[in-house]
Parts: sequence; C-alpha cells; structure tokens
Amino acid sequence: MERSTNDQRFATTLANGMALLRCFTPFAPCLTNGELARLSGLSKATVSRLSYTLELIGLLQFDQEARRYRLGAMSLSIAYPLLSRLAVRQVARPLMQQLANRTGGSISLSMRHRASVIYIETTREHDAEDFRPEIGAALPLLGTAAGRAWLAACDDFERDDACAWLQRSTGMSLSSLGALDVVSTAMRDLHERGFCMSQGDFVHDVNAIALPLRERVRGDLVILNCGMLQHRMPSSKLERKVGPLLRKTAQQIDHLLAQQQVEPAR
Amino acid sequence: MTRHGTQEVDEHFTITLARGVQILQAFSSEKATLTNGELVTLTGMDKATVSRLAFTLIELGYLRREGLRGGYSLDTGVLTLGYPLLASMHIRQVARPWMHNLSEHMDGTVSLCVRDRSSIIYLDSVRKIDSNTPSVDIGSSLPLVASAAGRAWLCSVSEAQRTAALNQIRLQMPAVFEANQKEIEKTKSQMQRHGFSINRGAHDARRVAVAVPMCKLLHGELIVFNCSLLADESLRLAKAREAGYALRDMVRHIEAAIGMRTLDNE
Repeated sequence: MERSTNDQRFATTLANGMALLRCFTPFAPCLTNGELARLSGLSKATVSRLSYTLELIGLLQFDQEARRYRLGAMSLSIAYPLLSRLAVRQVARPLMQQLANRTGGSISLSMRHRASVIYIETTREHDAEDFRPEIGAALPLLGTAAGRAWLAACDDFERDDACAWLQRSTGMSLSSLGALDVVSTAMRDLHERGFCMSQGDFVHDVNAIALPLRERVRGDLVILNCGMLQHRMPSSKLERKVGPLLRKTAQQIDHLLAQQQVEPAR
Repeated sequence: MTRHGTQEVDEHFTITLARGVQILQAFSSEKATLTNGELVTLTGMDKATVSRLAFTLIELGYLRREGLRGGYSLDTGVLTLGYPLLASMHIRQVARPWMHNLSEHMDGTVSLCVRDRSSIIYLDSVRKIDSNTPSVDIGSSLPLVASAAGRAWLCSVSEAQRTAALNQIRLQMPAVFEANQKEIEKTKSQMQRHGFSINRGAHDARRVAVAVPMCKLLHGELIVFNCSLLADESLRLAKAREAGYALRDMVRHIEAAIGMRTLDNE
C-alpha cells in the first residue's frame, strides 16, 4: 500500500515488520515464513528474523497444529486504548442491535482512514449466519455506501486529503477512478434521499445504505450503515423501509452523544 | 540498527521493530495522547529514537499528531491490525447469541478470552444494554494470575505450559506472583469441584467473576469464557455459584455447537 519514503527518519525495519502483519487476512489467517516472504517481497532470512521478533512481543503466535504463524492477541490489545475511547460505539450499540433485529441487516459504524473506511462497531441479527465484516475491516472509500456517505458529508479539506490518498494508494488519477462522479452522486443522494447507496458494488450480493452522524468523534465524521443480503430484501425495499429507520437511529445516536457531551462523564 | 545495552544479545531479535511496537503499547485508555517527552519516560528510549519511530508509525497510519505540539495519539489504522484475527475466530460468532442470553439472564458481562504471555485478553464481551458496568472491550487485558479467567487458564493447561507461564510472571512481577500464589491453589480445587473459578471483580471489588475454560484447545489455544456481575456481599457466593453453573452449561453448548463434544443428556 504505502510507498516507501526516502526520508532518513523512516525506520524500514519497523515498516517491514508491520508489513508482515498486513499479510494476514480473514481468508489467510495462518501463514508460514515462506508464504510471508512471498506475500511481502522480503527475503526469507529477513522474514524469519521479523516473525521471530513479532512472536516474542505477542503480535504473532506459532500455531503448533497448523505449523504456521497466526496473529497474536496483542494485535487487538494495541487497538484497545483507541476502541475504548470511541464512546459512540457503546452509546450506539443497543440501538444498532435493535435495528439489526428489526431489519435483518448488518448495522455498522465506521470512520475514514486515508483511502478507506474502517469499521469501529458492527452488529447483526442474533441468529444470522451471513458473513459480516468485523471491527477493524477496512473498506474502499469509493465502492461502499459508507465511503460515499463520508465523501458526501466531509469538508473540502478532508475530501482533498482523501482524494490524495486515493491517488497515492492506487497510482491512478481521480478521473480514471471515477471519483468525481461518485462524489457528486453521493452528495445528491445524501441531499435528496438522506442516505448514500451501494448496490452490490463492493460485495456482489450485498446492498447497503449509509449516512453520517451529525456529531463528530475525535473531530472525525462517523458513518452509520446498513448492509443487506440481496436475497433478503430488494434494493427498493431497503431504501423505502430501512432508509427512514436508519435515519431515525442516527438521530437517536446523535441525541445521546449530544447529551453525553453536556453531562460530565459518569 | 540501534545498540542495546543491558539486554542479553539475541541476534535474531530485531530491536527497531520491538521498539516501534513498544511505542504503540505505551498508549492506554487513560493516556490517549502522549508527548515525545512522555514517550521517552514511558519507554526508556532516547528522544531521537522516539521521534524517528513515531515518524515511521505516522507514515504507516498507526499514529497521528494531535495539533502541532500536542503530541501523538493512536490513529485509526491500529484497528486494522487485529481484524484478520477477529474475523477468522468463528467461535465468536457461534458464541455470541449464547453469551448474549447469559448476560441478559445473569445481568452481567460475559466475555471470551485468550491468554497472551502474562495477561488474559478479551476477544469479545457482551453486557446487558444500559448497564453501568466497567468498560471491558475487545482487546482489554487483565493479569493472568489475578483474574478468574487467567486462573482458570492456569489450572487447565498442561503442566509444562503452566510452569512456563508462572516462571515468567515470577521473574517479571515477583510481588504479584507472591500475592496470588495461594489463590491459584484455591482455584485448582474450585475447578475440580465445580468446573469454574471464582474471583473478586478485577476492576471493582463489589463485583464477582466466574470463568470456565473450553474442554479442548482451539487453534492451539485454550479459550476461556467468563462472566462478571455486581452482587451484594451477602449474596455474592450464591450469585457466583449460580453464574458459574450457568456459564459451564453455556460453554458445553458452545463446545457441542462447534463439534468439540457431543452433549450427553444428563
């Protein structure tokens, strides 16, 4: 993803070590040193030093059964100080759960990071077996309802920053990415319908609608979205039935957040 | 590579990588923003090293600047570190409805934990909507020897694993080890008699916690479930027993649901 920088302050060894962690995916949760070398493009000798170190500090764990590395629990505890301070998650969770149970969709909160939106909370119906993204999933800004809602609601400075990251991460121009069309459609949708949409644009059998919360968290916009398997509900019904419910849930979350900011912390 | 003084020389250990991660680990939910100087104090590294590593971590999307001179805080990118781990742990998805029911039934917090060196780390946590409970969340950790879940882990793994874990704690935190040694012995007999461990709440002494490990390893790890709840002094033991037996039943059902055991109709 990132281009290596020529800045002398840049610690390449640290970057290489972190790059190994990014080789793991939900679909490839266990990897050997050889696979890590192939995926990262680093030499096998470098990879074995780095994976050895990552194991000692708890970021990797050697799975004896599989004879492979998997991510260690430390990978989650590093994020804990940030997660625990995103109070919007705790405030929103019961409301999100109610909406998930009522509609059968997955309800998630996300924030923009560079050229992605990252899930900070997600709930679905209790007995739903469907795949759902987890906290920490990074989804593309242009291809998802959540990303589009962010693009439609952010300020110009933030949009410029996101566009710079889009160009940097893809090596493509904004016009060949179709970014300007996406932004103008998203702005129109948000204005006219109150939410932005994706119809199978990211995951082929999932439609989604999304809208921004009014209250910012750590100065950043937070997006509420509902993803729905197409066979459960057609897109028209998602817009007509779930759209107003999603808007109402966002208002309730905003109301609770505003209240919390007025009252001193409990 | 940076020199390291007193640590014993291990030529495979990559100190720059370990130090970079140490900077991320310096943040906590209480100290979400740290200045360069605070990072120097907390990590014991010199100022130049801290600046260089922080610069790299910003480039990688794991740290961000808070204002021009305000210091650093974790950036949203850290949430992506543990995502593949979360998403590949299907046990969480299987367990969630059960955890939710138990949490409603006992009016407590039900969590799923794994061990990381001398800690227990929460991979998921379900609590009753709107209850005023301490904020345990994904990625939060408790000391292995001083928590119900940690002690249940210690009393259920192989002799070799237990000895290794305890030796490590004895070396690093002799006082903590001393203070908890008797309690660990007590946990052993609790586990034998009832199948769960009992402990005073780790965050709040008015709470009580019970923990039950799974009957077998999953991906080479022993997963422990725990349940903590608020209880009046006079009712504490009775409540703990009730929660302990309910938790034990829940874990057996989850084990059956993932094919780890067959349920016998006792």
